[in-house]
Amino acid sequence: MGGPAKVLVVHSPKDVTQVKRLLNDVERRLKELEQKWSRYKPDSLISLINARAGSGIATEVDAETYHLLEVCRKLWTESDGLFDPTAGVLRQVWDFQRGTLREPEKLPALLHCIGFDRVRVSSSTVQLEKPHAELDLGGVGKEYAADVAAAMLREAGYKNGLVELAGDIVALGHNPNRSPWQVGIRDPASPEQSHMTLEIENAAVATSGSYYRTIHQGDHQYSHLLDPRTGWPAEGPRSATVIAENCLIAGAVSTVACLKKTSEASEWLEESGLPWLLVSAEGALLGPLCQKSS
Amino acid sequence: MSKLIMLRTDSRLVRSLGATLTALPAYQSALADAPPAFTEVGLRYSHYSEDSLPEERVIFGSPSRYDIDVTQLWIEAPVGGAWSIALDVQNDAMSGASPWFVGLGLDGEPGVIMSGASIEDNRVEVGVTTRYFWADGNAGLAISHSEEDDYEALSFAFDVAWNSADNSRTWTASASSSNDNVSPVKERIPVFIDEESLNTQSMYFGVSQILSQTKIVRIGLSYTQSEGYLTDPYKFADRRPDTHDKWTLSAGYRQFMVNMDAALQADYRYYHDDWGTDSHTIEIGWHQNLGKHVLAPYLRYYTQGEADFFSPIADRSQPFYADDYRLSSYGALTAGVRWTVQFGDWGIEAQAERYRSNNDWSLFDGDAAPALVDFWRATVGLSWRFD
Repeated sequence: MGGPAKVLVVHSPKDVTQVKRLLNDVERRLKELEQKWSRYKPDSLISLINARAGSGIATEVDAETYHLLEVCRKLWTESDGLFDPTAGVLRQVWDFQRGTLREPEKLPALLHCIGFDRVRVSSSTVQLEKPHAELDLGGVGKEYAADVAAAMLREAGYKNGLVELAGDIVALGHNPNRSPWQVGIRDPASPEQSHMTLEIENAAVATSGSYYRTIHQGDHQYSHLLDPRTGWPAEGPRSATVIAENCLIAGAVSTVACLKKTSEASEWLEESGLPWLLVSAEGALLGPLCQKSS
Repeated sequence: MSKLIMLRTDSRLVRSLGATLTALPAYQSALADAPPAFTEVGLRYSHYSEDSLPEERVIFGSPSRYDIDVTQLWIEAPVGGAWSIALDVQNDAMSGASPWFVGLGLDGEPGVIMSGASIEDNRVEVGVTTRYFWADGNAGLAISHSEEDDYEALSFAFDVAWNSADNSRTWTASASSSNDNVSPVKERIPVFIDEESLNTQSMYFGVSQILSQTKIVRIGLSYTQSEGYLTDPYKFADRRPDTHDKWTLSAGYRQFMVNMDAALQADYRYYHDDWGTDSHTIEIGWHQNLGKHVLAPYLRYYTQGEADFFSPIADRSQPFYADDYRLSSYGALTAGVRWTVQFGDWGIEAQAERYRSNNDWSLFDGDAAPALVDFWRATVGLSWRFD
């Protein structure tokens, strides 16, 4: 899912074999989700749906994919269309893997492919009405996968552990020292360093940011977070960090925040009622977590 | 330095997003039955005050009626990963007078003869409930004992709730048994028994079904059978059968209104017993979320028909007779509002309720009882939860 995965389980020495088996199961399950939802895998379910865009052929999907798309629909509605899983088609122009902008003249045509209201979702099939449209579960897929891994640990009876999927974190209970888990929040100005540490128990932390996977054009640095209304990278905050009961909500709320202008992002985060931290385009720290941590 | 983040949010946005997550497998285990995550301690105080009877309905005695102060203390704690235990202690301090019997006034209308001197009584109930949780349900076993000057009760109850595989349906069943002992205090007013017993068995079966992410419906059926001394020993003209069979059919509907951040509650209950009484209860409530606060106004309408052996002035020539207003035909309206707020680990609640009853409000035919009651009830409570 586009990044490293780390799963820690706090257990007694006698549980070593059992925990190894559990971690194998977690890895297998995460790979299964990646095989379904990764847009980088040409034989994934999402790639198949995208390949059939505009063909009139519906692709059969499992219940989990259907329900995740329903979450996307809710988020699309709540964000007034700003969170749009069909905006991934813009990557035909904005190639963040290679860091280049290709054929910007194609943008107006690609904008016509965008719109989650043009995605036909039934409980068993999905179909993209528009030719060239693409589904991309960025902002929810990896976050959901982190929650899946955490749920597997809980179901196996382990109340203390940590799941980290490329920066999205779910903390179960406490760390081996019986203290809250300490989670470093990356400084967008120097992403290899943490600019604050949070202590969390039984909560998830997700950070969305415009500071990684960027494209440099002249003096300008373009974010990988694309505004589905304009087709251009969002020019909102550098990063948004949200703490929630689960990673899917934390990730969804932080992703939408990064697609908004800083002032609107603050309002959105405030409305969520969740603890949040925003690093504005100018580098200012905003939000209730500023007071909570150092 | 870092600080621990406490996570308690209940915003409309998070609730709205959260409602869509319930069908995803990763969150199913969160829906599975589990012991409470915290230990909770609570204290609640209620004051119940009956209105005085109108002077014109009283033939003898003070028109003042009962006041009851109810104090409840409870603690519920998780035990291990699959059990919880709860202790409830309740004290009811009662004082006042009650209708003794109904006679004919000088105006030719039925009037109430009150019990005279103010009665003071104290009732203490202690209950312990232990509950076992598993992925698809939970089961509880409860024992409670209550004692007052003239009444002692010991009851046992067992209940089980079972969820369907997709957690959309919950079946609930319960059974309880109570053994009561009545030994009236003789100094107050003349009584005609020394000691009597009463045994009651009850069972319930219900099912609730989640219709969608915002709607839930439930229906339940209960049967209660009592055998023993069912007469009110403090009433002069009261003689009731030794058995009492009661059936109740109840149904409820809840709908969460996402856009209004509120929930509508509608409940109905039908009651029938072998003493000839039927009743209907309808309650409508509205639960409005206001940030950390919840404001819940409600309105309840109750109507019942009179028991076969009820008459405004008891006919003592019959095998069974009673002039107790609680067995008469009447209708009642209750209007109330409940407010709760959660500040971190602390919860505060307050509730006020007004109850009024009237023979004319009944959907059933039957003569009016002059001692019908109206009352106020107010409650305040505080709870604290901790790991």
